[in-house]
Amino acid sequence: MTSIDQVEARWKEPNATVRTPAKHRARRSPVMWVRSDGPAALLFLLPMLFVFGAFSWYPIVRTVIMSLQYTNLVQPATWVGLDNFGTVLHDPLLPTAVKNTAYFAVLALIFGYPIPLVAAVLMSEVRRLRGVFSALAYLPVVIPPVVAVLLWKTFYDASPTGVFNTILGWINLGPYPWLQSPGTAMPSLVLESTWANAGATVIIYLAALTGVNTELYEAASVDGASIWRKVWHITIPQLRGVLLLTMILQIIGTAQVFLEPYLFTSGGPANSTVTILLMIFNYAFGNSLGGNYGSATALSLMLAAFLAIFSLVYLRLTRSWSTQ
Amino acid sequence: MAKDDNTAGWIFTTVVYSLGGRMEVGRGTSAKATLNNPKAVTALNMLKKMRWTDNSMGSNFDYSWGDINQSFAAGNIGMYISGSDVYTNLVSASNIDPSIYGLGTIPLAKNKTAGVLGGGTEVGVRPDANAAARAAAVKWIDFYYEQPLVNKGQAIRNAQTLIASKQPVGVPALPVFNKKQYDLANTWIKPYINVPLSQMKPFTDQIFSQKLIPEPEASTQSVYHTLDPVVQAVLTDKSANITQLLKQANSAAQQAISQGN
Repeated sequence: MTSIDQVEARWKEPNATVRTPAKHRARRSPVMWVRSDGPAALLFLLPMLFVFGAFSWYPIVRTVIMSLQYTNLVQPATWVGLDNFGTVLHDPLLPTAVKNTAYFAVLALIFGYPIPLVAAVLMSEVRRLRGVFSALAYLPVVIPPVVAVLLWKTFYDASPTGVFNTILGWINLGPYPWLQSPGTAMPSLVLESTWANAGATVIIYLAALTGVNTELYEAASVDGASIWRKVWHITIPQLRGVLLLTMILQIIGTAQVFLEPYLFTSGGPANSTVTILLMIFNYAFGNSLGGNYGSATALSLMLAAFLAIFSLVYLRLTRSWSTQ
Repeated sequence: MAKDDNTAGWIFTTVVYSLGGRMEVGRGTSAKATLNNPKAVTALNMLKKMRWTDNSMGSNFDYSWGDINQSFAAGNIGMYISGSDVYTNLVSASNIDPSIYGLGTIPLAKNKTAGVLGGGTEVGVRPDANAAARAAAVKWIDFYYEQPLVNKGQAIRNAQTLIASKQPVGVPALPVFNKKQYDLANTWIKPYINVPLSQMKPFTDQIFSQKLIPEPEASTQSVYHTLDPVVQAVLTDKSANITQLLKQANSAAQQAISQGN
C-alpha cells in the first residue's frame, strides 16, 4: 500500500479519529474556559453587552412588540395582532411616501453619488493646497444640519428677492418657486442634502485613492492614456469595493431620509415631499391627541425588513464584482 | 398658510364657515365628514383665483402658525385670518409696531348658516385629582379667567400686573359675556389700555352681532390636518383638481373620525 493509499484508507475508515474544530470546541470543559481567561473576557464584554442590550437590542424587541399592540404609552396597551400593519398598508398616503422616498433616493443617486467621486479624483490630482480643499469639502458636514437647513431656506426663498432667485435674476432666469411647488420641492431637498453630505464621502474616497498603486498611473501615462482613461480603467476599478459600499450606504441613508423633508417642508407642498420616515414620525408624534405608536413601529419594521432584504440581495449580486 | 401643522386646515375651515359650509355633521366616531361640500369648493376656487389670477397671495406658502405671526409682525404679510387675541403674542414674541396692526371680523355670506368659527383655550383638571385639588383648580380658573371680566378690583389688578410685565392691556378677545359687561369691564381698565383700540374697532363693533359656530366636534385636529395638503395643492399647483382633492381629504377625515383619532 502506498502512502497515498494509506491516507485514502484512513479517510474512508468510518471510525477515523479526525477531530473537527466544532467537536473540539464542544468538548471544552468549564475548567478549561476558566483557565483560558474566559471570565475575564466576559467581564470586559459585559459593559458592551449592556450598552447594546439596553440601547439597540431592547428597543428592537420593543418595536416588534409595539407593532402588535395598540398603545399611546398612557393607557394600557392592547394586543391587536397584525392590525397595525393593515392600517399602514391601507393608508392612502403610503404609496405617495414610498414614491417620494424612491424619487429622493434616485435623485440623490444621480446627483449625490458621482459628485463626491469626481471631487475626490480632482482633489487627488491637485498637488498643492489639498488639505484646504479637503477642509472646504468637509465644512458642510461640520455645520449643524438644522443650521444648514435654515440657511438654505433663505437661499430658497421663492420671492424675487430670495438669494438664489436674485442670483438667477442677474442672468434673466426665474424667479423659481423652489420649495413652494410640488414639482421643484424634492429636487431642492436633494440639492441641499448633496451639499450637506458629500464631504464625508469625499473623505472616504480620498482615503481609498491613496491605496491605488501609483505605478499603474505611471504605466498608463507611458502608454499615452488620457486622464479620463486613467480614471475609467484604473481609479474606478481600484475603488470598486469602496464604491459599492458607499452606494449601499447611500441607498440605506436615502431610504431613511427625514431631516430635510421635516425641516424644510413638513412633507408639503401637497404631500410632495412626504417620505416613509416622515410618515413614521407623524404616526408617532404628529397627532396632538396621542401617538399611534403601533402603526409607527409597524411601518418601521416594514422599512427595516425591506432594507435588510435589499442589502442582502445587493451584497450577493455584487459580491463577485467587489472582490475581483 | 400651509405648513403641515393644521394651520391651513383651520383657517380654511373658518373661510368655509363664513360662507355657510360645515366640515362634519353628527358627533363622536359616528359623525359624518362633509369636507367636500359646495361651500368648500367655492372657498378653494376663490383661493385659486387669488393665487393664480390676482397673484395676491405672495410667493411663500409654507407658513406655520408661528411663521405667519412673525412675518406679519415683520411687515412681510399684509393680512391673515387669526384669533382676535393674537395681538398679545405679536407684542410679546415679535415686538410688533402697533401702528401696523388692525383687526376686523371676517365678512360673512348672506345666508342663515354663515358664521364665525369660535375656538378657545380649554382648561382641564385631571379626573383623578382629589376633591381639594379640583376645588383649588376651579377657584384658580375663576380667578385667572373670569374675575378680570366681572370684578372691578380684579380687573384693575390684572391690568396693573400686565403693565408691570410690559404686556398689552385691553386686547379684544372673543367676548364671554354680553356687550354691556364687556363695555363695563373696559371702563374699569381704561386708564391702563395700551393697545390701539381705534384700529380694532371694526372687530369690537361687529363681533357681538356675529353668529359663533363651534369647531368641528369630532377629530377636530385630524380634520384640519387632512385639509392642509388640499390648501397647499391649490396654492402651489395651478392645475390642482379641487373636486378630487376634497374627495380624498373627506375620505381621510372620515377614516380619522371613525377611528376616533
